[in-house]
Amino acid sequence: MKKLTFLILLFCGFISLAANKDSLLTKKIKSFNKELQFFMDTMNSKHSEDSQYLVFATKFYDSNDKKEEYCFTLGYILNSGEYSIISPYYYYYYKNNYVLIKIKEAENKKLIKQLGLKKITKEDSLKIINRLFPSENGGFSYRGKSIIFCNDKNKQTRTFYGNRDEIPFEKSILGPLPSGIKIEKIK
Amino acid sequence: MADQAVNNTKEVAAVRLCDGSYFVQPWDNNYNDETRSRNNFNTIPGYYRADVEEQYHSHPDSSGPSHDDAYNSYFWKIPVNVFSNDGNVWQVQYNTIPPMGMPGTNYGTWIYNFNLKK
Repeated sequence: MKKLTFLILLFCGFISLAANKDSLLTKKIKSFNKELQFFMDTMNSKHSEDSQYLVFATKFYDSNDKKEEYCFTLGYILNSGEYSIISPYYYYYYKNNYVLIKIKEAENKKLIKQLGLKKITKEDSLKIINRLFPSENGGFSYRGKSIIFCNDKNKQTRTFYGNRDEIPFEKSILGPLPSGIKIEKIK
Repeated sequence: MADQAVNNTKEVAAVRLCDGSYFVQPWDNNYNDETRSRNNFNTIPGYYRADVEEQYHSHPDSSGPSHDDAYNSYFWKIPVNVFSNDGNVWQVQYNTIPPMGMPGTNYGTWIYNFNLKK
C-alpha cells in the first residue's frame, strides 16, 4: 500500500511538473505575442512613412525554466544588407509579417514547435530581402529602437532603448561589426 | 553639414561625387527625422551609383557614428562621415586593417525602464 501511495505521489509530481512547464510555455508565448504587437504598433506609427520597409526581428535568450526566467529582444531592420548581419534561421509569421527569429534550437524545441516557427528557405529570404530597402542603392542611416523583455518569478520588465547600439551583442538582434571597420574622430 | 547638425532637428544626408561636387539627399516622403535619413544613390541627376565616393550626414544630437553607420560604410564600400551637434566630426571607413573599436562614440540615450504588472 505504501509503495502504491509513493508511486501515485511520484506520478502526480511528474504531472504537476509537466503542467508547470506547459504553463510557463503558454505564458512565454502570450507575453511574446503581446510585446511583439506593442512593438509593431509603436514602430509602425513612429516609422509611418517607411513602414513598408520594416522587418521585425527577435532574439530569445537567458531561458531558465526552473527559475521561470526568460528574455527576448525585439528590434527591426530597414536595409537589405542588414539581413545578412542578423542571419536568422527561423521566422515567425505574424499578421502578414515575417518576424526574423534568433533562437538556440536545442534549448527551445518546445517553444519553436508551439510558436510554429518555420525554418527560412531561400524563397522566404528572397521575399524578406525584397521588402527591405536595397542597400546597393543606398538605404537608411538610422538609429534603431529596441525593446528587451524579461520575465522572472517576481516581475516582468520591459526596457525600451531609443538606440539599439546600447544593447550588448549577446542580447542584440545584430551581430558584431565586420572586421576592417575603422572609426576615427577627424575634428 | 556642421551647421545642419546644430540648427536642424532632422538629419540631413549628402554625398560627395567623383568630380568633387556634392549632392544633398532630398527629404522625399518625409523619411527624415531626428534619428534617420535616407540615401538613394541611384537617383542623383546626371550621376551613377559608382560616382558616389563618400557619404555625409548630420546627427542633431551629440552621438557619434552608430553601428548602422558602420554597417553602411561596409555595405557601400565608401567612407561615412558623421557631424554631431557638439561640433565633432567622425569618419567610419571600411578597409582591411583590423577593427579599432568605437572609441568615444555615444551609443545613444537610454530612455526609460519600467515594470509591468503581472
